[in-house]
Amino acid sequence: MRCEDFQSQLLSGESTAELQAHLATCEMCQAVQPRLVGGASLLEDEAMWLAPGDELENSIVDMLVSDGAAGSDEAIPTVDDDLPPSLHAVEDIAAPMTPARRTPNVWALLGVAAAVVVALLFVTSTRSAPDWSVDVAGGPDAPQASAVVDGWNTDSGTRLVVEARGLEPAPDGFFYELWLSDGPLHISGGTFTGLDDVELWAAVSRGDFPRIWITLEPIDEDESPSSVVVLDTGKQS
Amino acid sequence: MTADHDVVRRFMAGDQGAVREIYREYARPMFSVAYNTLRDRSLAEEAVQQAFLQAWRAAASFDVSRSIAPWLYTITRRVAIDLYRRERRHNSQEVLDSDIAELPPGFETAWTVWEVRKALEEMPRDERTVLEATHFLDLTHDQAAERLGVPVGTIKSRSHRAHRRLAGLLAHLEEASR
Repeated sequence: MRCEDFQSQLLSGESTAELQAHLATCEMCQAVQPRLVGGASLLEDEAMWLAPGDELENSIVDMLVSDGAAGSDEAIPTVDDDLPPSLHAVEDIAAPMTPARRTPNVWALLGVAAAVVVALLFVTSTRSAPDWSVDVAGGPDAPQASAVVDGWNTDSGTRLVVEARGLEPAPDGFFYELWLSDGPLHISGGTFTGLDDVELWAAVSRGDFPRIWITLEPIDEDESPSSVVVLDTGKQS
Repeated sequence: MTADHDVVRRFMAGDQGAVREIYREYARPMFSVAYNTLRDRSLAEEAVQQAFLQAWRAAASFDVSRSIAPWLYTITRRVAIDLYRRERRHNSQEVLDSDIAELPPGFETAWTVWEVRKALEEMPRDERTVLEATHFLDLTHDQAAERLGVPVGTIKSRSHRAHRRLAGLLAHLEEASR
């Protein structure tokens, strides 16, 4: 056995006489042992498996854009770990989360309100707004791709509209398949080959199956997701 | 100039696309570090949000020749500790003597959290799923096979590959610079 095998054993929690004998003589494995044992412990921690909610990315982008140009501060505020922070320090941290107070311009607000009303009338006259919308990043097999998936929640499932960019239509003998997943449980949301007007239907809700991902599937009898992932929101909890 | 440097330059220039790239690369390790300290999902999300804002505002001070990961890690941990203190202060009536032992994780521990999460995100999905099933969900190989709908032999081979790959990733960690 090689060091890689013993290190794998350390991570998996195995403890054999052979491993102990190796550790007694191998300085390299001795050096990484605490890190691997610590890593094994962390794998049992939900901190390693939970993920931020879908809306956080857009929320952060919106917040930064509204905050103005990057680099407006000269340095990162520092925290002295040995001293209790003052209330001002807490307020400094919390302040950016609060919109700046400005004197409202009544005419500007009325203009914005009118524009919103017009936009809402336009949207509702063409198609109801989705209940949710999520940006989907390119997966390992198509990192250049991206998509926006809009969803409408209904009593019988979820209507899904996919607008993908950076993908080619599925080649002959293959098709794309959208999946909604909760951990290892995967529900197909339907298949497609072309990328125009992709409208799909899933029998489950995104609240129960938060992860959305799209695979490229060969035409065969295997009904499980293939390993070719072209779009993926990533694991959501 | 690496892609990392390029995205940081674009981040500093206020490019929304760069914000999204950095988010998708680092939000989960940031979230794990914050959650490891705060043990609360919404607070951890708040920490990630605040960390991004601080990074955004401090972008001019960042040396683009260095890796962005330790920088984001440091900001996130500091924000998480501040939120931890804020929450403790708000709940001060409930603070007990035993809370003295409940200090946030230390610098190196939190860095290990970051690196383990980053390594997990870099692993193939099928291997990561097996690790989640066997370590976090504490399933046996048989139970994992039933849950994932694959043969037990597949679970065993994936588990072997997963442990070997993750051990390789973790064994070559760099120390975080303070």
